[in-house]
Amino acid sequence: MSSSSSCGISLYSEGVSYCASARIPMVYVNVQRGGPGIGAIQPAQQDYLQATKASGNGGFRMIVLAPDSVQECVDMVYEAYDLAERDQNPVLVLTDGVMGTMMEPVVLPPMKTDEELAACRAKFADRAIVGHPLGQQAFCRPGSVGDGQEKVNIDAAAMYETWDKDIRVEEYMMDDAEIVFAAYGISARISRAVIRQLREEGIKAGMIRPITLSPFPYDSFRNLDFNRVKGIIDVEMSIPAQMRWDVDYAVQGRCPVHEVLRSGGQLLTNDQVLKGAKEFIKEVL
Amino acid sequence: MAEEKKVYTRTKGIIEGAVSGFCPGCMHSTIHKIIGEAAEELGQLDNLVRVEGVGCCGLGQFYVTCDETIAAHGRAGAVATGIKRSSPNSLVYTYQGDGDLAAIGLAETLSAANRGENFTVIFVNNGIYGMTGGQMAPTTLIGMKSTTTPGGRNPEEHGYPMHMSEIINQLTAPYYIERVSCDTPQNVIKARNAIKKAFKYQLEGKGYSIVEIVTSCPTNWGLDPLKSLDFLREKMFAEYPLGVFRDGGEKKQ
Repeated sequence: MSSSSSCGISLYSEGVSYCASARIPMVYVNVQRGGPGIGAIQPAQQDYLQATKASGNGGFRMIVLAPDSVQECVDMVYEAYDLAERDQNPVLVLTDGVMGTMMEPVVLPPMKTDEELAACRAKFADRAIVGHPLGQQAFCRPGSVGDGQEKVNIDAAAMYETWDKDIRVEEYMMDDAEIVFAAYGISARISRAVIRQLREEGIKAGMIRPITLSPFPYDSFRNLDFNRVKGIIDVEMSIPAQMRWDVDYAVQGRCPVHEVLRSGGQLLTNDQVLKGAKEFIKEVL
Repeated sequence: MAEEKKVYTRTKGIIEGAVSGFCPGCMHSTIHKIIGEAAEELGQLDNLVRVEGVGCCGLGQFYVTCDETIAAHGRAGAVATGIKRSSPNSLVYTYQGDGDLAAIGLAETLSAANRGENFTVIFVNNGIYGMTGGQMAPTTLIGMKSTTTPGGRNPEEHGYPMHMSEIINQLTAPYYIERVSCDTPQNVIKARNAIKKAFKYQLEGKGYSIVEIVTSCPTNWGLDPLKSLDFLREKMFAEYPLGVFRDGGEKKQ
C-alpha cells in the first residue's frame, strides 16, 4: 500500500498503469489537496475525474472508495486489500486533506490470521517473481507484444463488467426527498449537517452519497422519481465541478442540477452550502 | 571408437532454441549468455529474478528463462529494491542501458546504491541511446556524433560524459564495483567472472554490486562490427577504463 496527495499521485500514474496492465494487486490512497500543479497544501476534491476515469495511460479502471469518516478510512483500506486481491487490480481510496487531519475514535478490524496470510501468498505463488524452476517462469508483464496486450484489455474489460455488485451508496433521508444533495467525502459530511438544518425548516432534503465513486451508483440518480425530486445540488470542493459529470450522465436533464463549490484549498462551510442550497430551493420548490 | 565428451552447451538461462534479435556486433547477446552461465554455475537459475530496464536491454525479456518484470523506464533500481526486500533469498539483478540507468534512472540508481541494496546491477554502457535511434546519452563521448549532437558532443552545450562506476564509487555503501567489456574472449571470461562474483556476494548478503560492461553499438555508432571494436578499444576504454573500483572481498568489514 502507498499513499500520497494529488500532485504526488500524478507521479504515481505511470506506476499504477503498469500495475493495472500487469494485474498486480495494490492499494493506494490519495489525500486530495488543491490543484492543479503543486497547487495548495490545503484540502480539496479536485482529483475526482483523474481518480475515477483516467488514473494513468491505457484506459484501465479501478474500484475507487470514498470515505467520509475516519472509521470509513480504516474500514475501506482494509476492504481495499481484499478487493485488490480478488480482482488482481489496483484499488484507490480517495479522501481529502480534511479527513487526513481529522482525529476520531475508531474500531480497528480484526487482524488477518497467519492462515489467511499464508493462503493469500499461496494464491499468488505462481505469479510471484521470486525465482521458479525452468519452464515455470513467472513474468510480471506491464505490456505485451503481438496480440497479447489486446487480450489483457479484453480480460480487464470482462472484469470491469462484474463490478455492478460492488456499487455502494448511502441514500440519506431519500424516502421523501424533493431536493437531493450529491456529495462524497467531506462534502457529504457537510451536506448531511445542512440537510438536518433544512429538515428542521420543513424542507424535504436528502442526499445520495456515492461510496464507490467507481463503479458509480448511476442507478441511484437515474431511478429518482423526478415528479417528486425538484432539483439536485452537487456539492464538491472543486471548481469546475467534476463529480457533476457523472450526476448529469445519470440525470439526463430531468431536473435542474445546481453546484455549490469551493476549490484550490479553500474549504466549504456549512453556511456556504446552506446559503447556496436555499437560493436554489427558492428557484425550484 | 572414441567417446565424445560434451564440453560446451548453451546455458539454460536462455530459452532453448531462441535466436537473439540483437544487432550484429552488439554485445547484449554475449552478456545474456554469461549471465545465464554465471547463475547456472552457482546453481541459481531457479532462484533468479531479472528486472528489465527499457531500451535494447529490454529485448532480453524474450530470451531469458528466469522470472522477470519490466520496470518503468529508469526505475529498475526502485523495483529491484522492492523485490529484494520482500524476497531476500532470491537472486535479483537489474539489466539496464546507459539511458535507463544514468539519464531517466539516475535518481533511483544512486539512491539504491547509496542505501546499499543487496542486489546486482548489470549496466550495459554503449555511450548512446540504442532503441530510440541514436540520441546522445549521459555517457556519449566528447566529439561523438549522435542524432541530437549532429556536430559532435560539445561540452559547453552538452556537458561531459558521466562515469557511473566512479560516481557510485564515491558512495559509502556499495560493496563491489567493476567495469568490464566483452570485446575479446579473455574479457568475456573476465566479465562472466565479475558477474558471478557479484551474484555470489549477493547470495552472501554482502550488499550492492554493479558490473558496468562497456560495449559497442554498431548500428547507432554508424560503424561495422569490426570498426566498432576499434572505436571501443581506442576511444571508449580511454574514457571508461576497465578494472575493479571496489571489492569488499570475502569478508565483510
